[in-house]
Amino acid sequence: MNARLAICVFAALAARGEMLDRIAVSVGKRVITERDVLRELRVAAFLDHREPVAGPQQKRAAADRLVDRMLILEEAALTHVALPAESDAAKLLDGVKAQYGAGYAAALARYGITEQDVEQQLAAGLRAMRFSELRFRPEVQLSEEELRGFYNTLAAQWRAAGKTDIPSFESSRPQVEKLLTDQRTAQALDRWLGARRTETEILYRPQVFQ
Amino acid sequence: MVLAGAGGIAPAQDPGVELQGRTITRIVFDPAEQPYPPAALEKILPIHAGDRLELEGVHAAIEKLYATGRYSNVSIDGRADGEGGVVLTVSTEQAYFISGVSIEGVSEPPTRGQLESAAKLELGARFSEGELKQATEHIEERLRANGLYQAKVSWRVDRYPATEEVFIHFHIDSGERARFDGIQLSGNFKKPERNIVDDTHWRRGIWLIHLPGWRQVTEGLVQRGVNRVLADFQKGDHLQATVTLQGLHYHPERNTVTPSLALDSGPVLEVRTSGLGVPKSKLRQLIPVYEERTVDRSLLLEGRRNLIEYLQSQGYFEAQVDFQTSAPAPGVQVVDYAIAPHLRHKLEFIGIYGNRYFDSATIRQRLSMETAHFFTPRWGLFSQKMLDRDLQSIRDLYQSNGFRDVEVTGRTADDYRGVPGHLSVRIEVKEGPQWRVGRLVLQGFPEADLPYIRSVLQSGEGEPFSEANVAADRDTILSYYFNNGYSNAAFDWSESPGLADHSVDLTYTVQPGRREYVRAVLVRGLQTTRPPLVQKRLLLKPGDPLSQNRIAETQQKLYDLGIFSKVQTAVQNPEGDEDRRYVLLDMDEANRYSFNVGVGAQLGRIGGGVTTFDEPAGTTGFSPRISLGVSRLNLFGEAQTLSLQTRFSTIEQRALLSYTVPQPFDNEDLTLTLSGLFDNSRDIRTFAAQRAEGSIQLAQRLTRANSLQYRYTFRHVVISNVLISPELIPLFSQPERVGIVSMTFIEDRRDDPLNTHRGVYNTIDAGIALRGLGSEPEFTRLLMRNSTYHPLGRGVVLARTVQFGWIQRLAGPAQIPLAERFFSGGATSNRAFPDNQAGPRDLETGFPLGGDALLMHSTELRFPLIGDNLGGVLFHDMGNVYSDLRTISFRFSQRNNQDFDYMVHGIGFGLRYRTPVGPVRVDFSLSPNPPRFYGFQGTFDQLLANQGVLTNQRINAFQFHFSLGQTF
Repeated sequence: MNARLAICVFAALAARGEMLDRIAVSVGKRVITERDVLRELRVAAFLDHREPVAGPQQKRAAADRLVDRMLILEEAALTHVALPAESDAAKLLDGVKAQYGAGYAAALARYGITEQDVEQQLAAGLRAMRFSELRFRPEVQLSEEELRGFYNTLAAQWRAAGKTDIPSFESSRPQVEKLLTDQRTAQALDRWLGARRTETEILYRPQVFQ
Repeated sequence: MVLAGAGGIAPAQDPGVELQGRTITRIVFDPAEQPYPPAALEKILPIHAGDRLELEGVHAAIEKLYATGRYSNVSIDGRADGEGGVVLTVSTEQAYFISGVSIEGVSEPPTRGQLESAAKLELGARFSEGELKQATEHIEERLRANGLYQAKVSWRVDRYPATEEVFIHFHIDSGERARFDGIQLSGNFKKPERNIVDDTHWRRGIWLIHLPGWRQVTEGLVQRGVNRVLADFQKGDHLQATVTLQGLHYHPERNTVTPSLALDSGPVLEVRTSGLGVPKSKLRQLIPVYEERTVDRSLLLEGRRNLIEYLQSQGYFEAQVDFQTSAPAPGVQVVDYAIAPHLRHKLEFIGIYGNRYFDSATIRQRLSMETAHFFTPRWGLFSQKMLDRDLQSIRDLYQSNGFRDVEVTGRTADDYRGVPGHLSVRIEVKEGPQWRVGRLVLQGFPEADLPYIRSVLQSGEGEPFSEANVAADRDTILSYYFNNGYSNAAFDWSESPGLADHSVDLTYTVQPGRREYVRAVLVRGLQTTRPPLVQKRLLLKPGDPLSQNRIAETQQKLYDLGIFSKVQTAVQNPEGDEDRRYVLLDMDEANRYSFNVGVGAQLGRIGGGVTTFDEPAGTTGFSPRISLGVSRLNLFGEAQTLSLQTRFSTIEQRALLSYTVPQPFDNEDLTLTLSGLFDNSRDIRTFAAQRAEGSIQLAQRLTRANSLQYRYTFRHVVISNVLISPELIPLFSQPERVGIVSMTFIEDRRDDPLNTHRGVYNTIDAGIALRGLGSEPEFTRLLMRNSTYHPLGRGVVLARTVQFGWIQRLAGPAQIPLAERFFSGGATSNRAFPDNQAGPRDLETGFPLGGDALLMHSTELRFPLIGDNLGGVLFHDMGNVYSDLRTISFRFSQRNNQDFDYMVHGIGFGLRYRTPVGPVRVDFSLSPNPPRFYGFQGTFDQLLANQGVLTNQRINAFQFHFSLGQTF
């Protein structure tokens, strides 16, 4: 009896065929499919030189990254912010190629991705950075007090790490200012993304992330 | 089957790669029943049978289907068909959309409407189960805010798969409402706690009488309580006081609530002026610290500017104001505005120079400044701000007519014509050239629309060019496309120099976008109303372009039925990419029964004996009145109304039963009314009348302003307590039966019927009573009225009205019966008379007999007195009721005590206090020629025996009237 049931289920599945793609996340009217999520995972693993793992957490993290990218691109289109094209990622792609050297093509095949997939992902990173620069960096205003506070935190960390030749505040001021500005810009982007996520109907399909 | 194993290493390639490149032999849908027909799906999908399979195409197909909004989930499988091809299966889950929310069982407050809003379930939006939890939480929050802590909320979702709708029913078991049980007060304040508790009104009590216990909690009561406490602090000049409701602490074991209030009375703030007194109430308006309840320099500066503006408007055009703050005692802050008023000026002259295109009168209409005259303050209307505003207004006028380079400047000069303090304003206009539209190019417009579009544009070729006209054209164009189904239409324009001098070539570009049509109109929420009643009023049908105007008009038509408390409209799936859409109508039916109770009183010359001959002109009397009414709305689900209205007072008892059928014969312009009336009244001093009347009336709306009423009335009137010569009684006071057909034409072009400022109101009422209609007396009756209203500026209105009436006897009794004759005079006609005291009188007793003709004319000058609510009126009334058409006379003087056919005049003054139901008014009238007449001193028996004494009497020259509504 059980064997018959198993045969029936198998037959039904076979008749249905192979799942080609399905919705993983919907962002308003737009969708991110499971294939998008897996490709994101593979490209990220390729860039990090590690094995691609498709566990629920990894898939969810990859989907989150794709959602963020989608929100940024939509906002950039709405506000007419000029973002880098895929070709602008060529320099970064050259760097990746150099890392893999002669085994580059074989590595792409091993990860099941194309050069265009890699280029797209690198461009997406560039776009997010560019968007932050234009949208949030001008809003960051740092006071002298904040700069000194941040320098003191850094200096304490250096001391704790056993560093002895700690530069003075004045000599390291440009670097401190850049670091703190970057940090505040990233925080502003996170806040903005958080707000956009609340305003937008974002539905994750649980069956994809099991 | 899933694409990747749980927690495993990601597959090295996309699933289905081995199927890529094969020919798609078939695409099937699971389930087979889809929201769209196969042909529409074929159009939506970017992949079709016969194509080679590309995984990017599969992705695009999922994206396209989801973007329609009709699916909540989509997946695509592929299966080799054994012949080198591939069969695709598109599996879908249908999306549902909210078509209505109902709330039942709630014990108000909160109202059902408040809870529906709190649920935040938007009509037409996509529904997800997760929203129900949120909606329930929001509803519970509102219930708790209203003391319903024990309330239980349950819900039921009705799904309609055919139209993809869900209707959500919330049921509320309200439980018992919690009561307050005390107040926790904290913070810095000096008032006794007991006073603060009294301010909240949370204790039980009536006015100042305290009852034991506390009141039930409602959101309104809580908010009003907090506001009252705050207002009381502010009354004592603690402007910066704060009262914060920190929380409502619920005690479930007692079902009571303890509110906790944090109070900070803050310092006493005194704002005063030196150098010139300004009323405290005015200071409260001008100094924003009162409104903002904080003191800072920017607010004090704003107060200074407002004060200067106010002083200038009072004639102190050179006034200087400074301020300083001090703290004379702990907890006391003083702001002293030092005013140097200088000489008070009077605006005597406004000159406009350099204008050619517009005449000075046209420009003057736009000025808010005004030289001093009777209707302005003594010093005229002027301030620097007014001048700046007027100059800008003139600039706008010119620029909107193509004078884009116009320059308008204003200069003031003192000592006009050598008189100290007299001011003149000189406005100089440099018009510059008028720019016109050279060529107008229309891009992107469908060819068929061009003739219409060109006909409605303001910026046609050769017309003056202005951005205001372009903006108006933009609105016209977009409105046209929005109302023809192009909800995403976009408009852009550009200008370039034209060939001719001072000309501009314009290009209007429109992108209509995709046209959307009505798929069906879904009506929800009807309980007792018959669906055909609603269906007949729908202005949209499947296949029509989706027009927002038509949706709004449909909504208005449904509201016009008067049976719906709410008519919500929406388009289902508004975000979805589809061109055929469901239009949703969700209706809440109004309560089927409505009750009204009114208590009032009439004060006027309505007093005097009922059975004696004293005071034929009436003495000051007071008549309390109560009215009760009940109406059953939406009878038989057909929007018909059955209504009983009753009124009881010492001079009138009345019951009116009416049955109204709106829009009979499917004609929206008609209203049919059947009514039965019983009335026992003594509003005319001469007699008491008992009237039983039945009527049928068909009202027809011709245009927005014009309407007609066709009426048949049958009445039986019995007259008693007649106070006239006994020999006249057989003539006038026989019981009578009157059957009359009449027609009334009404033209109403008033801007506001309750408080008219401009317009015309005309009525013509003509009727004929014939034996064939069941009437004993046969006569014709004509009553006409013409009223006009003319605004004179600054809220001043000149209003006038004339009323003419004529009754002509045809056959039957020798005299028109008393109850059918014209009785007039009083608060709404000629105020020189008490109510219904105009016209011929009984020559022995002096009581009014009414007449067969009537001519009245009134003129009123209505003007504002104090603020927006109190106004004044100067009036002149003239006219009378005449014994016959031939006796109508404009004669001023009365020939003798038996002559009533002359024109009585009354002049006077009145006050009007504005209320939502019309102005409350009091009028004082003085007549130079009130009627004199003979009265009778004695009893009825003495009258019969010719033994009484005739006395000389007259209508008092001074009359007062107190009532509601304008005179006309």
